[in-house]
Amino acid sequence: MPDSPARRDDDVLISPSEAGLGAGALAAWRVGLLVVSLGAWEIAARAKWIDAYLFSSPLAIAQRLVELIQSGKLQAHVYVTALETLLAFVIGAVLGVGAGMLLALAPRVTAVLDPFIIAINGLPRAALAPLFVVWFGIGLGSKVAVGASIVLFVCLFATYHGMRNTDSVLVQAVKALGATKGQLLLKVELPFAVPWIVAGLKTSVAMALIGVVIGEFIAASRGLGWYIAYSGGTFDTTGVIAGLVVLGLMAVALDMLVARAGRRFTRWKPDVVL
Amino acid sequence: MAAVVELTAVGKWFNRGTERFAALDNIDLVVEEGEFVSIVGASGCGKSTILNIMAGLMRADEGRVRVRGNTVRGVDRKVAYTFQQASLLPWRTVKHNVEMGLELRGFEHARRARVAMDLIDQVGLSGFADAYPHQLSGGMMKRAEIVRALAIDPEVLLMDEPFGALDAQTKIHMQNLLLETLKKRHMTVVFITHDLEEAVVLSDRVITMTQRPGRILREHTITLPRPRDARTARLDANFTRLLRPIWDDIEPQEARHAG
Repeated sequence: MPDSPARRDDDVLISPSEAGLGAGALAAWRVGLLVVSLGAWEIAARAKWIDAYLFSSPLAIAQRLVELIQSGKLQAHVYVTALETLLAFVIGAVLGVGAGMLLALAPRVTAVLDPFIIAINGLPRAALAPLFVVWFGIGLGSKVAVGASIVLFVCLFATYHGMRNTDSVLVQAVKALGATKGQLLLKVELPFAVPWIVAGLKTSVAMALIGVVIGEFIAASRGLGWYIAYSGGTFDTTGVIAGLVVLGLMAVALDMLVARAGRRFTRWKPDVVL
Repeated sequence: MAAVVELTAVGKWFNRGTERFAALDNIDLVVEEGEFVSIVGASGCGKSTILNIMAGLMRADEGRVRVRGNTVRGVDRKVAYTFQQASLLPWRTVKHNVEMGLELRGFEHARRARVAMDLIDQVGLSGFADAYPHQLSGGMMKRAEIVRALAIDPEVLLMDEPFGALDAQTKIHMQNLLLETLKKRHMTVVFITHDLEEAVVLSDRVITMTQRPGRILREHTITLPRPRDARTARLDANFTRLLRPIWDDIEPQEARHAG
């Protein structure tokens, strides 16, 4: 089996069994860590060891989240940001996988484009965002563009490397069975790249969210990024941290979603890759 | 009998760095219909290159190559090829791997499933039709690879050291499976191997090759009676007598290689 990046146990940094922890003990440690650190933070804020104006406190943040949910504002922001992230992810992934395929099929074109691709990918997206605002407006379009511009390159490189790594014996075997060039692409090279593409998608979904939030920072009137920027502008630390908490939860949810979808496509892989 | 594979004055050059060397030089070889011909030689003698040229996977630089009466320009759809290395697609089940050739030919789903399952049954893999290659033993993978080749109903079977990576026991099983298959199906086989005993057990003719540039040294006709059994053929009184001259052709090269 050739090396490939996506394995089942790649969904987490380390599996419980590798760490020598039972599932129950693991959950207990995690909850314990959360309770202790939040408790310490709350106590420190109430005892005025830290300035609550600068650092807020867990209860204040929880209270803010409840208010935001009751007023329906949180749902509205989450909806906007989630929609932008999803669009950025899908558009970036389709363009990136497509471009990666084309480059893998055209080595000469790739050789010519190589430095340009590296240069464009190297541009900080925060610096590109103002340009996207000019091109795509201050609405949804510019945020999707920032997110997609990150996802595109991650997926491009993943697809390209996956296809280029295709085991030549497999290509020869299917060619000997009478495959045309198109059939080789669809039935060998592209499926071979799937674990790379899945790994790329997993990495890029979090980046789609980052890109969208950057876009919302630059120019927006809605979305979690806007809410965080707006709260920051009014020195409302509670608002900033409440927004960050929701962003973190979104990142975890998106990651789980893509990981689950990805496992469907890599089910054929052995559990243990030597 | 008609010639199914005809190589006339075939030559092939390879580049290694700036150096250009002849891999094959002036190869003349005719394989008749229904014949089983093995090509043996030390590593690097170009025997796999000959097979690749026959299969249309590689072009000859000199000479003429004809298979089934046609000049070879690409892969012939009535010619199948098997490899030494594992070559099943790891993301496909055994059944879907075996169906591949028919899928590429645009056969409808029900028909290719029927052909595949029938062949899978014949080699005793029915219980593993839905298994993925990594769940199979080396011998099972080989069987799946052979039936994948048979599924396209080939007239010519080109085999590049197919059993090279197997242990001795499994190898004999696979040799018998091949002998059994050839009793039932009329095919012309060109077989590349390192294993001189294997060549004698299976073949009608064994071609020995020299090393660099690869040239045909001699051909040996194997007169062991058919049907053969891979185990008992080795015990035939004539077996050693037939093996000896082949051994004498190859041994000095292998010794030089090892030294």
